Amino acid sequence: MSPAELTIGELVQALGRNELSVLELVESCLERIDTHHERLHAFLEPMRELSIARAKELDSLPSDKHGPLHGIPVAVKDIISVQGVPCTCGSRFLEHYVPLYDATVIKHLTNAGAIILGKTNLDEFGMGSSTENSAFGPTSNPWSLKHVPGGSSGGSAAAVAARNIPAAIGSDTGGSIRQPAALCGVVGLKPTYGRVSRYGLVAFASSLDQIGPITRTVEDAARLLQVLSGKDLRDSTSSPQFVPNYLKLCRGNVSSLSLGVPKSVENKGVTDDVRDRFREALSIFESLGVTIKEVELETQEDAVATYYLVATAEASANLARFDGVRYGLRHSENKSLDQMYADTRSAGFGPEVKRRIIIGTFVLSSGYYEAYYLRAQKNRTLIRENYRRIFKEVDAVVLPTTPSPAFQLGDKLADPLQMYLNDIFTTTANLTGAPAMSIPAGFARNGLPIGLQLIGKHFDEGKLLQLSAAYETATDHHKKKPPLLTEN
Amino acid sequence: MRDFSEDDVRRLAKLAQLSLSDDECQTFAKQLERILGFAKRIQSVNTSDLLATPHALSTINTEPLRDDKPQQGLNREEALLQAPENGERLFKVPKVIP
Repeated sequence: MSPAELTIGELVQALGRNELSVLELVESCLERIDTHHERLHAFLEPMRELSIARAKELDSLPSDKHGPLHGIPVAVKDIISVQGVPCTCGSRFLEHYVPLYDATVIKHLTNAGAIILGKTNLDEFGMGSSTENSAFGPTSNPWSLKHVPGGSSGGSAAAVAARNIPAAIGSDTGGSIRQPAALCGVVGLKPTYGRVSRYGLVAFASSLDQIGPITRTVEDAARLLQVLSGKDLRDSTSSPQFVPNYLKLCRGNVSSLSLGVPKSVENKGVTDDVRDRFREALSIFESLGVTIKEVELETQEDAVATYYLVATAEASANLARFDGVRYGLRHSENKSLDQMYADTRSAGFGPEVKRRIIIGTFVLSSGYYEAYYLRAQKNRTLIRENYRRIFKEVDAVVLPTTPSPAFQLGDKLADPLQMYLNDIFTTTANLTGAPAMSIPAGFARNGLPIGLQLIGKHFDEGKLLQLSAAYETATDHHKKKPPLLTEN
Repeated sequence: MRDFSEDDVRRLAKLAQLSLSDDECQTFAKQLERILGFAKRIQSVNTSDLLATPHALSTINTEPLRDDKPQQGLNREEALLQAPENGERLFKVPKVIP
């Protein structure tokens, strides 16, 4: 078996016992990426020379200098800055943009001994649920190449699912880590807002964005979260909350814990497969001694509406910085300043980004601000209060991650609202800032993966990991490999 | 009556510094109609006595800020490195005053 197929937990052992060198590991990951690249298109740019040089450097380190992620290759969504490596955000606008600094999460990973192996594909600026909005072409789902991997961190999830790499970093504004993790059959964790620094993450919606890990096991997610978390002076919204030992928390007993199931969850357009896997998951939790309780959660549709009003408003403001003056694209032949701005932005942004800028401009414009944006913010209060009530009764809320397994490439492109409704179960965690994670919950009849989502109290990632790890131990969904791997 | 005309989209595009083709305006007008038609559902929720939540964490901004000490940032050459056009160690833009 290729070392690229091992989990971080297994790699830590193999590298520690010198059964494997970091260089061998990096080369086998790069080889896997090359084998799958044409079919999958998970990576925009593998960092070949840099990662090989770094591997050699790490192999020569004495073992007392090894960090907790010594030699572990990690892929990074191409919206997070790595110094000296292009950061396109999946946009023509930033096709040639090269960051001058590392994001804080990249510093943390590197300090822990990890190797940044490459940048992964995404929906332009993180806007989308299928990775079809990348200006550089879509990514395919490793379980079926005709299907989307989800988005916007679709390249990261596909790379991990296809065993190109043991782990990847994504960002989640309305489900962009959890939804692709669910559709690709891997683990995706969106930490509490403020748990992980956003410095160096290109902003989409600043009050909702959060960086987090995508891995194949729950313990691997814990290992990454451990390294990513903490206060950062460069991000004033990052939190000084104590960072517990997440790996240790994974191993706790769950029989004293309780899960809340929203009453109307099965009426929200979920497919039969998703409903069946969801019920199965609940009975597994019950067999582990977890108490299952029904809870009242306000309609999810309101949350999606609230989310798209808030996120587009923030996006329209955040993306104003792309003006063709300081970096990125410019169209300026014999033009006025205003014309240069408009032509540059129109040439640089794809349709979904333009659509969201227009919606955001509308909801913030005079005469509509109160009716849309302010209403959405008040509704956000309502959703937050709703969760606060629920968390008085239970330790976490359990939901499907998505209403259906992966859809086919091209299926929802013409109807943005249908695409948005795919986020029906994921947006509340961003609106409230709560931590949430998606774990593999089995497969649909057509063989595509289905995800199960847990949402927790602020800074209570530990309980999510604990519940997820217990569930994972009781199941073997995470051990199944996509057909892409058995075909060659 | 439609809530969104192509002219509305054109007006918004101007505010957002985007120049859209007639085709784009037509498509966006239809899509905005549908998306904002859906989003309107929150207007029927009673929120009259609620405060707005602009941010996920209420504790934000209660944290003391870091000390206001000068630190090393990008130098001038680095800052200009990515500019599509620069000259005389400045960002260049089209003429603003004719």
